[in-house]
Amino acid sequence: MFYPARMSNVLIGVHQRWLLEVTTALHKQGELEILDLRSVPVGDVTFQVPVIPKEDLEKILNIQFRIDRVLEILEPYAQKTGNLLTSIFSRQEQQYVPGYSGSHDGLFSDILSQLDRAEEVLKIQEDLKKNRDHYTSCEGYIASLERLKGTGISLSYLKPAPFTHFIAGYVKEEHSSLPDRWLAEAGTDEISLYSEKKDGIILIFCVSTNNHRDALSDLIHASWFNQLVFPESFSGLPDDMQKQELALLSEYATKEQKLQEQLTDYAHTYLSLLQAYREELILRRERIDINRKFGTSRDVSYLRGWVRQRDEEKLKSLIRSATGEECFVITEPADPHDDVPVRYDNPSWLAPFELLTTTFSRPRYDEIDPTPFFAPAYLLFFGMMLGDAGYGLIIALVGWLLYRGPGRTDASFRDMSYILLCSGVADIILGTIQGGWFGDLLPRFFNIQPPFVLIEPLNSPILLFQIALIIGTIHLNLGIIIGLWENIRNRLYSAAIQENIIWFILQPSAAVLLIQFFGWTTFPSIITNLAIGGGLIGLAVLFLKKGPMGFFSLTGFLGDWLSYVRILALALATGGIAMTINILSEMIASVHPFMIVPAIIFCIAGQFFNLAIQTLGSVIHALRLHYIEFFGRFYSGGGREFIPFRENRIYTHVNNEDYS
Amino acid sequence: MTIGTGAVLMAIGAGIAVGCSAIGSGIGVGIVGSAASGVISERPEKFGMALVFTAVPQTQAIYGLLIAILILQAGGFLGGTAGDIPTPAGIVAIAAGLSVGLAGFSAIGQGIAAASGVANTAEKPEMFGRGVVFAAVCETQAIYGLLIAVLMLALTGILSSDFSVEMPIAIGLVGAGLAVGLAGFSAIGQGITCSSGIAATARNPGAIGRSLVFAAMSETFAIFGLLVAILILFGLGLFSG
Repeated sequence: MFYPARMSNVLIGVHQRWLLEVTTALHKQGELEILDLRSVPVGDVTFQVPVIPKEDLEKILNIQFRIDRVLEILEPYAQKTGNLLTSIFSRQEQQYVPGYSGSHDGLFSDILSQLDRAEEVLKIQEDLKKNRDHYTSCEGYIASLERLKGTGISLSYLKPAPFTHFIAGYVKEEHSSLPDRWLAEAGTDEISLYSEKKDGIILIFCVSTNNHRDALSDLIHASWFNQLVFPESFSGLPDDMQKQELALLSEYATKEQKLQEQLTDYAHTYLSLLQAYREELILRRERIDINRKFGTSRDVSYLRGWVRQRDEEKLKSLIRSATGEECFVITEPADPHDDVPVRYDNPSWLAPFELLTTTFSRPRYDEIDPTPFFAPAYLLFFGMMLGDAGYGLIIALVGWLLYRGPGRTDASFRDMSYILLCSGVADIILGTIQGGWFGDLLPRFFNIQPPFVLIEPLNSPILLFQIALIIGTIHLNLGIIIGLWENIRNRLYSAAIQENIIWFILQPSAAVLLIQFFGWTTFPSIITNLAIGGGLIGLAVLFLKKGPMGFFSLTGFLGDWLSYVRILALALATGGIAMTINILSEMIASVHPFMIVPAIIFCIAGQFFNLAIQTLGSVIHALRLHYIEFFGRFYSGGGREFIPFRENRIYTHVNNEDYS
Repeated sequence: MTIGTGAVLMAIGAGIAVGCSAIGSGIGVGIVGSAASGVISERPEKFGMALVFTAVPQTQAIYGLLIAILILQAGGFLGGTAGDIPTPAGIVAIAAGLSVGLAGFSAIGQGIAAASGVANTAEKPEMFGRGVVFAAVCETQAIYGLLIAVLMLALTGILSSDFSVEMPIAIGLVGAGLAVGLAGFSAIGQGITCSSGIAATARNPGAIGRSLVFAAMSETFAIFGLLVAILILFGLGLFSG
């Protein structure tokens, strides 16, 4: 587990008639990363690219497009239960549909028989859209009619007439002088205006002969005039018409509800099925597309890739059984100088922490995997920095709920929730030792002294300061030892001396000299002389190796070591801010007995704020201590991810006999 | 009840601690918040990510608040019992306030780095972790400031409401506070380097190690400030018990 999984390079040759069976079996097994034979040729051999079944590919794309259109409509109508919180923490129950193992044509036929019926939702969606347009227009007319209510003006006047042109509209009250101005500007007595003040607006009715229709339009549209426009079908008084429109609005609302219910029914019937079909089509497409990476001669198809050494036999057995022994499989151990993909090789309880290593950089194939060192130290730092058992309980609970909920179906969620759960447990343990239970909530409000307290950051900052520096010394030296091991393993003896061993000389020498300088104790002169000698040798090697930059190596090491005092800083910050919130809550509560409830609300809100901000800080700084201080001693990363040719099934599942 | 000069100076120390660090955090959060607003106008789904980056530079204000609360609690302000505190104790509080308050300006550098983190993570989500780490680099100066402030308050006994510190020691500690606090401004330079480091790492993930080396170089000057502050504390006899 301290190095990535050992890999083998594989060359597979199968008779062409077995190619589909082999591709399907490999896809299902998911242990082989397939390389493009054009970029990784086998000697001087030139292969042809296998013929791609373009017709099938086109059909798949066409059907997938049709399914996507239907799913786009149905997905918003998926059955949702519970509120936001329960939807976050509960597992999204999927209706699993058995994976389809038949031929492409059989699958297409099955899908199309369902899809034709499911596509009725397109018509429903179209109706829904039209209905919504009508509803919106109706709402607009009702609002416009509201402005004309009580005026007694018949809507028939607004219809086109042979000799006259009638317009109704309004301006805001501050523009009440506009009608008179328009009349003055019009300069004709064939335009007449009537205005009426109503509910903060000025209603204006304009009438002109048809000869002056354009002049009237230009006049009013150049200003702050809002014209009220209605369909020609509108007639009678605005009050009566509004009643009719209100009744119509109610009909549209009822129709909307009915159409949505229909879509919900369709979603219930077809959503899972179509999602499963789409998934199956995507997998089929992947199996066709992968052919582009193969090479072929007259009768034989060739595949090249990477497989974990421990999976070699499984792979060989799979190929033999899929081809009836008409195949060959050649494997050879990976050469670290090749572009070998990296697959972590950690036990399942440690594997989720690979996420944190990958966030910095994946190890190279021939490089140590720092995850086994990273995980325990990360939890230690996180727990010490947050240092509050009450917060730890909440974090562990959230982590557990996420792990049981979405973590069951989503791999990255599972890893994150597992890390969160472990971080919460670490914080419970280390928070108990530091006596933090929502700061000093227990002793302050309940007069309870927390048990098992060994060190309280606020009362013993100097002790925690010393502990932080001791932890820093151990952590940095662990990094140096790992770096030393790596250099020796790679036979880089000179680097081992100059980059690693040198620090084992410099550190004790500097410690002796500093302790002597500060006068904390005195050493025999031989030790002092050895320290001076060691220090000078160390500095000489350092400056010979790095030149003037050796100075920055020294300050860098000192900075890295002092950087661990952030453990103290964050522990103090968590406890101090939590204590402040408790003090303020106590002050609020002491104002008046009625203020107890606001004080409790303030306390809870404040503690949650502190929990959020300090958890974020603890995660960031625990990561930083690893990425910068620890990794800087031995780790660079830069490995390429192992990406196997693997089915990713979410909505479907297959039984082994499906492929037998 | 007589309020002594020391109590007044302690109040000023608390004010410097929280006020200066709040200015630093405010500017830092403002810088990253501005970048975050730009990002979410185009990519609203990046709000959560942007919020995390925006929260990063506000820890300096929390450190300042922490020291202010510790000073106020030690001085009896929170219980309404601030009394005749000797002047030297007040000067130590001012020194602690200068230490954590001035170092709080490191949040400006952190804001510059976090702004780059927001922009690059919006384009490449896998940059989130690296962006946060680069932004966290610039917080070291604030932690040094907090450390020296806590050491001053703890080693002089003020944290446990022992106000017997002598005047020469108290004035000397102002030098320590200035050393580590002003050195904290180096984080602005570091933030500029980290900002470019994030961009470099986004283009070439393998550049993270060397970019961090460049970023760490600005930290050297903060270490100088820390060392001088520790030497002052040592020279004033605070480490001798």
